[in-house]
Amino acid sequence: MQFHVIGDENTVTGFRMIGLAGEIVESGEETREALREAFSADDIGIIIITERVAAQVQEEIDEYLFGHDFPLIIQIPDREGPIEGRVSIRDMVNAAIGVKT
Amino acid sequence: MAKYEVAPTKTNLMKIKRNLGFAQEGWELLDQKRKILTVELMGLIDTAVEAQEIAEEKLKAAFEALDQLTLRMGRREIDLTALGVNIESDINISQRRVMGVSLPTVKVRFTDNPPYFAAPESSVWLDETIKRFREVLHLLGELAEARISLVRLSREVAKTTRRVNALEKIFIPDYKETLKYIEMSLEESEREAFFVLKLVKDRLSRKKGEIYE
Repeated sequence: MQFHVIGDENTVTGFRMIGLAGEIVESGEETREALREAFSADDIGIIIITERVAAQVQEEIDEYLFGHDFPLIIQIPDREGPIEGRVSIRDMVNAAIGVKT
Repeated sequence: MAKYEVAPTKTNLMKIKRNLGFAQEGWELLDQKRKILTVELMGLIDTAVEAQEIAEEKLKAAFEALDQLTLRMGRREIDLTALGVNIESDINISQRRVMGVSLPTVKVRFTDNPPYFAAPESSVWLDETIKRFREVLHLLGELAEARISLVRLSREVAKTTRRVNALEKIFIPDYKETLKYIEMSLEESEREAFFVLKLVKDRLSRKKGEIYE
């Protein structure tokens, strides 16, 4: 199976250097379309999406994340670094199991 | 606390008793499940946080190299070079099941077919960029595995906790309440029946006495 990159130009170019396919997106609509395509392709195992782009369609990503076993989605920071207000792994887990911090 | 609307009969008593037993058994099992999942979860958190930190650090370095490369070669040239890069990556995703939750295990494999470009024209940053992005990709495999596992596990923990609580705080007390109510009603009617019996016996014996007198 393959990786698939969805993100801004920089990220996609970077990963293209090591032979990954990717799609450059900006608006939420483009992202949604790219996601849909990636999900319907059956050779894609992991979708790498940048946080900034993912934030526009967070709800759909969450839905995919919980509803489907494949492909896996992973969100990474882009060149500018992590986006503000990102939920850390620990906070996410704490919220899910009901531990207040 | 509410009791169920059932007629206080022996049949219902037995039914409720059975349900209560079932609920308690279920509670024990679910509680165990929750504990096992939580242990699994706690063990994974550190791995995931660490994987994220390392991956993001490497990613930053990779973007820096890409910036340097862009300065030296230009976007267009990079895109063209990228076309010539022949690295195949292959992911092997298998599933591991913990308490009915499927967790992914990711293996990333690269197949290199160098060289990709003519050495004299290219910058040292080209090699560096490729090297760094490859490292990132390797780490991303691990990160994906850890993160997705975490998300699924924590969802399952939340779900199980809700069920455990529902059983513990609602179903079991309700069943107990109903059981008590039925038992009391049954005892009451038993006493009543006994009393009526006594009364009848008393009257009968008195009647007998009258006849024989």
